[in-house]
Amino acid sequence: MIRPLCCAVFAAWFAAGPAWSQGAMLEPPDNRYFVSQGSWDQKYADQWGLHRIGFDSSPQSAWRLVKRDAKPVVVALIDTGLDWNHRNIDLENIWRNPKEMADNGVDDDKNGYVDDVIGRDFFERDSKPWDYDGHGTFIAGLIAGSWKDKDGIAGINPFARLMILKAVNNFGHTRASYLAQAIAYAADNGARVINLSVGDKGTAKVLQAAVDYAYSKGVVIVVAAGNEGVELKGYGIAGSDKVLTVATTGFEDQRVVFSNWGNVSVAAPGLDILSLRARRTDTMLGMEGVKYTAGAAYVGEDKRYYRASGTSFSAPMVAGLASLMISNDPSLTNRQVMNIIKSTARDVGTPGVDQYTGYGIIDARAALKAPKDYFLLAGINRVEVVQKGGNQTVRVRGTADANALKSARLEIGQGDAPTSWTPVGAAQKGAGPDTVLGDIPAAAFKGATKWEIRVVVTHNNGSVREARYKLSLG
Amino acid sequence: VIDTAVGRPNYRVEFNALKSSGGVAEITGRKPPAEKAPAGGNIASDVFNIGNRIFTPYASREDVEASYRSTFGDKYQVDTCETKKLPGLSLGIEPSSFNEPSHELSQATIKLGRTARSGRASR
Repeated sequence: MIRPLCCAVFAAWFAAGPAWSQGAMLEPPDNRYFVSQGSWDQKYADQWGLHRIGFDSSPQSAWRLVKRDAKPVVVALIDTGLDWNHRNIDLENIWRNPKEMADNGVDDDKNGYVDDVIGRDFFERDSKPWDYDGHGTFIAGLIAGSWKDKDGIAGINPFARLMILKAVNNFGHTRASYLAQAIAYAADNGARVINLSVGDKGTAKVLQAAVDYAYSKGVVIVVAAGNEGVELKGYGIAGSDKVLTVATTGFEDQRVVFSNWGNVSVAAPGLDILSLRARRTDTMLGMEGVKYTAGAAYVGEDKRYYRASGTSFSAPMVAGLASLMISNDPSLTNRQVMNIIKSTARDVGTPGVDQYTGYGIIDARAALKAPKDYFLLAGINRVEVVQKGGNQTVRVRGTADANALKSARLEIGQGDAPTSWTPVGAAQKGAGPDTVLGDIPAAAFKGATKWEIRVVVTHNNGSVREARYKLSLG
Repeated sequence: VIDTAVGRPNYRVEFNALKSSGGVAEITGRKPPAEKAPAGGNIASDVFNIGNRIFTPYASREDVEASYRSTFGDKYQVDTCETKKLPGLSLGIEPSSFNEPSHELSQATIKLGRTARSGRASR
């Protein structure tokens, strides 16, 4: 009998707990908007997105797995800048370049940039990356909204230090070369995580070069999938294997229709999300095709809060989690963080890794509990017909790997949504996305024209992950 | 931008210069002198590093792109315009792209020989 293949099983870890769990741990925040609901007459919690991924007030809150003396982590926010006067942004949560003196007109640290104390504005070529758009400040709040402001929201990582890299102008536009410079700056100046809620069609070589460089320096790069409702193929660095590409899910844990699909890594809530409003901004004004009344998204008596939807705001939930994992255990590598976030995500929709939500919705609790070398990966990238010993076979390429692999097998099922599956052999272990997992004899596909192939990967701890692929016989 | 939060409208007039085309090239040594720029373009004043690789952006117009390409060959690329991931549209307001088919699972159509599917070796 095949076991239900939904989310991974972490019973053993929950029972035992990690070794450091006996020490002093964080208590969840009690900020006004974190505990309230209905602030704009909606029927769900104001910060429902954080609650959904495990950052809540319950005894099982993911924050209770984080050491109180966790370490600061630099998170590069490559966006429209920051309103650093917002009362819900604590100066402590803004990165300070330790080798640079403010406003002395000298490149003290000789990194090529003068007075870059908190970051850089790559447009104005100065070091005052103020946010005239609001997009960047909104993202900053999700990652590092200060817990000290009891009338405000709570960000995911109180240990985050935001490196403010303004590389998007006030119209939301930029060029690949600006993004590339910002990514390289982040990698060269100590960022462990980059949030990039920016992109477009096509991949400039200079941008890919920057991603390759930052990845080689150990940076976790989190990219929004985009809001065009189209396939990610050829859509910038989103979909690259060196980044975490994040899709948006809604209240029912379903993919939201605007969220781009394809080589998605994981998903996170991104519908009607509450965060900070930068002074004198209304970022949804002027959006093509949208009937929006100025000020309609403001929240709060002081109008310093804002609500909006988009993959832009799902990505920082993943960036926030990644940075919190590193705060808790600075020895984690970028590959380990990426593997854990994917491997512990909660599967939604059609069982298995898919193009809408990737490995599923991120699960902060499971990610923070996972051993540092944990991974359980499954995927089918493509199939092809090959001749083998004079016979036709269907070759399946993809991923089937775990740090402690118990088994990996290939199965086929008839029809559009098979309810029974036939094993057709063991799958070869391989972490690369194009590993030959196995060859299925053509004779296995008799009796129907529509099939699904799946790879089922089982970890020694009992966790299971699968991925499916639809096959039509022409 | 209009801000009514402070009780009075506040306007800012801006010009979006990034809709124009540009280029970027990887250079291996010193920056090429300005006079080497193709007609209609100019070499930007700065270079930037990605690790030990050096790049320089070029301001240009679309009609001189071919000239850039012939001058710099594979080292030249269009400096693509990127956009912030705009807030998603309100539910019920869906541009035409949202009507394009999407697929939760990857899929393919393949041809298998009839004899192969019946279990006999194909020749």
